[in-house]
This record gives sequence, C-alpha cells and structure tokens, in this order.
Amino acid sequence: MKKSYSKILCMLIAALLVVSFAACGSSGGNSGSKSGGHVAELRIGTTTANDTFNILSQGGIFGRINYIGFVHGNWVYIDENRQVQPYFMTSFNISDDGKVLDFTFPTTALWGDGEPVTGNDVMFTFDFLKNTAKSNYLIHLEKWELTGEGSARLTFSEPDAYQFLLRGAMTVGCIPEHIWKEMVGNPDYGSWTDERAAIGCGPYKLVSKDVDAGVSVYEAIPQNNYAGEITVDKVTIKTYADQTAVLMALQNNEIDCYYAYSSPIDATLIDMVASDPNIDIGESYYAGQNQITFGMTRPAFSDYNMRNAVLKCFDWDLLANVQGGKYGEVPTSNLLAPPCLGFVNTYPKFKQDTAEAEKILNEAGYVDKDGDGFREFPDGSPLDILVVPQYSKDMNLRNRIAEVMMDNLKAIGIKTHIDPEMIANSEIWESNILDGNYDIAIGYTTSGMALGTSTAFRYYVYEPQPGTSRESSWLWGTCQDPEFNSEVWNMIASSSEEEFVSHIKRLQEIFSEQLIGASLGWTKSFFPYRTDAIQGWDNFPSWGVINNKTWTTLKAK
Amino acid sequence: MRKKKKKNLPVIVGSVIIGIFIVIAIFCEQLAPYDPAITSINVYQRPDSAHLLGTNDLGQDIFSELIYGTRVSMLIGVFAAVIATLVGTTFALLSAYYGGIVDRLITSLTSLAMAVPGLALTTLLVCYLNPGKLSLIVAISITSWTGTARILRSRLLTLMEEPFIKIEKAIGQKDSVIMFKHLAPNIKDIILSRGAMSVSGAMMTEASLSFLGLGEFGEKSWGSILHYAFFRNGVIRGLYWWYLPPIICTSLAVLGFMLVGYYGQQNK
Repeated sequence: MKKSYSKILCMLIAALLVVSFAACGSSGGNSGSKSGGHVAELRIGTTTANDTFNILSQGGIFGRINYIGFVHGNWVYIDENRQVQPYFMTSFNISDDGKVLDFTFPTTALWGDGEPVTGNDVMFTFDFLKNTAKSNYLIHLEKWELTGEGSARLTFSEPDAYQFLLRGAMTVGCIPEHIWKEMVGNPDYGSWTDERAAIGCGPYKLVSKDVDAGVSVYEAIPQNNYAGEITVDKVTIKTYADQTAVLMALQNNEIDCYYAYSSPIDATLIDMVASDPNIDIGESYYAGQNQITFGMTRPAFSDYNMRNAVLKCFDWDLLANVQGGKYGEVPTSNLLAPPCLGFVNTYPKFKQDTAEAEKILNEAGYVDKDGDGFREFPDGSPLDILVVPQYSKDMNLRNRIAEVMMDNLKAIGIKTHIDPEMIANSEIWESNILDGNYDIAIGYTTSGMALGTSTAFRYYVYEPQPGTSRESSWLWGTCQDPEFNSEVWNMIASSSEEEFVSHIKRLQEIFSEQLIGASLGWTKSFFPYRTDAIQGWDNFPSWGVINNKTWTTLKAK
Repeated sequence: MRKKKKKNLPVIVGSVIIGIFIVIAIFCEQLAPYDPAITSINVYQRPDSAHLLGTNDLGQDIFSELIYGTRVSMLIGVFAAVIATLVGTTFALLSAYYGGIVDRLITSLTSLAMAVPGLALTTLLVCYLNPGKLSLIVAISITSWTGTARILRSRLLTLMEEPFIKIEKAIGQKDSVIMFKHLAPNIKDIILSRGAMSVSGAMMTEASLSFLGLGEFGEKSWGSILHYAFFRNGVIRGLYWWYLPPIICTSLAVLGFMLVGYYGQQNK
C-alpha cells in the first residue's frame, strides 16, 4: 500500500513537472488573443534606451515611439505616401493663403490619468509651445483660438500652416494643462522627470517601467481612437543590448517586432532571420542615406572638374556594398533616395571610370609636377584633400566609407588625409563643418529628415534662410549658387505638396548639373516582425511596421 | 669536465616566437602580398590561394593586414614597455635609495596607481589625448609602471643593506653613480624579465583599445582588425578567417613575451 502511494506521488510530481515545462515553453509566445480579434499584447524589441519618459522629450524609446502618436497625441501624422492624415486633429483645413488652419479635435479623448481632454488644454498647448518651448514651427503663429466645441483656429502671419502640419506632425501634440502649467516659462521642460511628464492623450498610457531591465509597459485608452478602433490592448517595449540580441529575441518569440527610429537592422545581420518561416524581414527602400558634401568654398572643390573626376573615381559598387551589403544599390546623381517625395528616376547612376577621372584631371592641369606620385594644383601648389567623416558615437561605418574613398582617390594620384581630432571630438568636428573647413565631408541624412520637408538638400546650402543669420542657422553646406540656395529655402517653406514637388524637382536638376555632392548609396531598411500570431502588419517604407496605423490594423491570427 | 648547462626550453620557445614576430614586423612590406589599404569589391572572400586568410568587408587582404598589424602591435608594445620599465625602475631606485619621505611618497603613488583599474584609466587617457600611436604609448606607459616599481623596490631594499653599497656611501660616492652604476646592474635580470612581461601587457592593452575603436584611423593593428570583424558581426556570421587570426597572433605574441619574462626571471 505504501509503495502504491509513493507511485501515485511520483506520478503526480511528474505530471506537475510536465505541465510546468509546457507552460514555460509557451510563455515566450503571444497568448491571450482571439483569432481575428484584438491583440492582447504587442511586444516590441528595440536597441534604444528605455530611460526617458517625458512627452516633450525626444529622448529614449519613449520619445522616439511618440513620433508615431503613441502616448503623445500628435496633431496629425504622415502616412506611407507622405500625405498628412488626421490624428488628434480629426479634420483640418488650410486657407488659400496658407495662413489660417482650422481644425477639429475629439471631445471624448482622455489623458493618461483619466482626466478629459478639453479645449483649454488645446489652447494651453499652443501657448506653451510658442512661448515656453519656442517651437520653430510656430514662429509666425499670431493667434490661437477656440471656434466652437471641439474646433479651433490657428492664424499665422506667414503661410506656415502646411509646414506646421508637415514638419511638426511627428514631434508635437496636445499636452495637459493641469500638469504642464507647472513648467510654464521653464526652459528645462524637456528634462522634467516627474512621473506625470509621461501623461499624454495618445492611444496608450504608460502603466509601468523598469529602467534597469529596459522594459516599459503601456495599456490602450480605447477612447483615444483617433485613427479607428484600437486593436492592440497592451504594448510592451523591451530594450536589448544590440541588434543581434533583438534578432535572437525575435527568433525565440520573445518579441513580435523591431522598432528603432532611423536605425533599421543592419543588412549584414538580416540573414540571421531571413529563413525563418514565421518572420518577415520587413524590407523596404530606405529614405535615409550617407552622402558626401564637397567643400566648395575651398580651392579644390570649387572646381567642377575636380568634383566630376572625384565622383568618377569612386568604386560605387563597393561603397553600396559597404553600406547596404548585398542589398545596397549604386545611387543616381540627384542626391535623393527613391522613397523621397518628388524623387525623379531618370538621372544616371554613378559608375566608376578611373581612366576618365584621370583624363579630366590631366586636362584641367592637376598633374604630378614634383614627381612624388601625387597630383598638384594647376599652379603647382600642393593638393591634399581633407576627408571628414561626420562625428557620431559610432564612427565605424563612415570611417569605413572614408577608407574606400581615400584608397580610390590615391589610385588616381590624389593625396588625402584625415584630421584625427575631427573624428574624435564632436566640438572640433562641428566647428570645422560649420566653418566649411573640409574638402569632402561624409554625412548622414536620417529617414525622418529625408522624408520631411528639409530633405538631404538642407545639408548643402550655404546662405541662411532669408531674414536669419548663418551663425544661428547651423548650416554645414558650402554651395553658394543663389538659385540652389533659394530653391532649398522655398522648398522648406512650401505651402502645398505641389509646390514642394516642383522645388525638389528643380533642386535635383541643379544638384545633378553642378555635382554639389552625392548620395553614397541606396540601401534597404529592415524592420523584421513575426507573422505567426499577429496579422495586419503594414510596413511603412523606411519606417517599419511600428507606425501610426499599427495600433488599429493589427489583429490576432 | 664542464657541467653541461641545462636548456631553458620555455625561454627558447618564447624567444623563437618573439623573433618570428620581430622579423615579420621589420620586413612587413616585403612579406605582405598586398598593400592592406587597397580595397576591392571582392568582399568577405574565404581563404584561397589568392588571399591566404580571405578578405574583409572592404575587400582588403586580411593576411596583409595581419602582417602590417604585427609592426603596429610590436611597436606600441615594445615602446610602451620600455617607457613603463624605465619609469618603474627610476621610481624604485629613488624610493629604495633615499627612503624616508621620498619612499613614502613613491610607495603611496604606486599604491594609488595600482588601485585604479588600469584598462579603464588607459581608455580614459586615450580618449582625452589626441588619437594616434603616441597617445596609445603614453597612455599605456602611464598605467603600467607600478608592478615593476614595486617589485624592484623590494629587491633594492635588500641590496641597500649589502656592504658594497654601504662602503660606496661611506666614501662619499655620488648618489647617481651608486644608483645607476652599482644598484641598477644588480637588478638587470629582474628589469629585463619585467620588461618582457610589460611588452605582453602593453600589447594586450593596445589590442583591447583598438578593439574598442580607440586606435588610429586606418591603422592596421591586430586589435583594429578584430574591431571591424566584430563591427561587421563576424562571429555571428561565421567569418572565422577574419576574427580568428588576430586573436591567435595576439595570444602567441603575449605567450612569447610571458615565457621569456616569467621563466627567464625564475631561472635566475
């Protein structure tokens, strides 16, 4: 009898262990969702720090995910076709002169602390953004007023309404007066660490965070359904040490997708998950790019022949490979990447032709006069090109690009050098770039900038926006061509999409004719996601599957 | 009959390893099949007859990089070790000879320097100084003299009690003469052993700093080869021909200097 009790006890323990292991085995998966219904929990993996929780800060993954109206109820959003779409502003209308913006907003929305969003909050927000935050988008805002229950009007002294929607869409939105009135007039509002600083009127509210573990958890506010019914009930964001760790987590079903602003998964890593049948690599053309800017205020690159020869000597296939691996593509001469609005696809692709490059230099008088193996200026003075990779925390890629360029330039007899201090010290780099102390600067345009109104052309202008000074404009460019400069500023100030496109088309023509610089390669972006438990993913080019539509289109499988 | 001297095998092996690396470092231009800075579209090529250790992400020949890297690693390792040994020896001589407040000051300084994590301080110094080989040598030297100073001081304190030193002092010999003509030669074996071991330490530190991306732009050192292999996710992508050779070279060179330093000292 005693023996059989022992047997039964052993069997019970064994059964318990089996159940426990089974439970452990499924704990990584997305559970609790009904087929075709809401997603109980969306698990997002990132490499951005989970450490800043302030709706007026762009720091950390909280700030970065608020670009897509997450906890922060952004006014509008830009869709995958770069069209302005209603969000917190449920409808909007711009007057013919571009100076008046009438809009409506929901009267049922709630703040994350349960308080209702009111017209006073909307008015307070514009007051705060203009007078405390000194928002660039609202410099010409003259008047902000309520025109009824759930409707308001902004009046600008200049035709800035379209630009406000287009440029401000990602970074501004409504803020709660009952919380932020404490910070009126305080320039340090962006670094306010009060728990209430994380309260917004977006579709989600922060419910818990563990900064040490790099995890933050959010729950939906069903009333804040600006883009439709919210179908994702809960979102968990986990920060991983690097992209390799993120991909492993994705393979192990610890997360459902990857999101990081302007940091797609590296092309050399994506093959790790490409063969997994439950993972879509989330491939799309990337709007961001590395580019070179010629120092046109210095003797060498003020000469078109030098610019032309240099662009012909580069090994474009290798440059594309260095940046985008096997997915990299040689770019065309019009600077922009294919996803940019107004991109014209008829310009020629760059091609390496060292013989032609040498011929151009010889005919222009850049020959080796002192027999040291390197060319001199036509007047015999020494030619030594300063290459300046843009300073950043991670210099590896741009240093690698610089190595390729310097080797290519050496092959056609052009001596080059790098200033070690410029690649080791951000202040030295910046002061030199602002002063135009470079021959070839290797820079980077983020996807957000490329898809916005500034585009990569902003990095090439020398003249400041009319009415402003160069010192206060943070200009890196050295192109002094008056038409190019005015076209850039006119493009940025466009009051409609048609106007924007006409300017950007002309800019591509000028850029390609004058060879002011060049894109260094078109790459693909990868924002991988799992397809086994969730459906309805919408992969925005350059942005990934975590976008403004995510919260309303995802469904459980 | 003369007693046959027993061979010190570890020292011989160590010397052979060091010798090979010195020859490679001196004749790297002649030994390398390619200029390691030359790039090509043949990226991530596996080892073959054209590229014995394959190519990297820029199509550069890894074997040539490794050969040129020997010169950089040896140069930094040896120079940093020479400076660290000179500084350590000088402090030890001053401390043991003068004693009193000088000894207390130098001993305190040594203890303080030893308490600070070496690699962390070196990293900080490299970041602060202008990038380049000289900065690496200075930063490594500043943090690696302490062990030598402490060991030599204890040996010198014993020597100071020897009659020949007391006689020299009694006849009024100059301090510098006693220190550098009579004391230093009596500790030369320890100095050389410590010097050899310092080279291995300095090479490891150089490799670590270059691996962290704190080396000079475009410089081919073993650490920088490894740095870019990791930047391109070489391990996870199975690019063993890229990340293994610098690891093996660094390990071998360190082993060579350690064998000479450790067993050379033990035999004496």
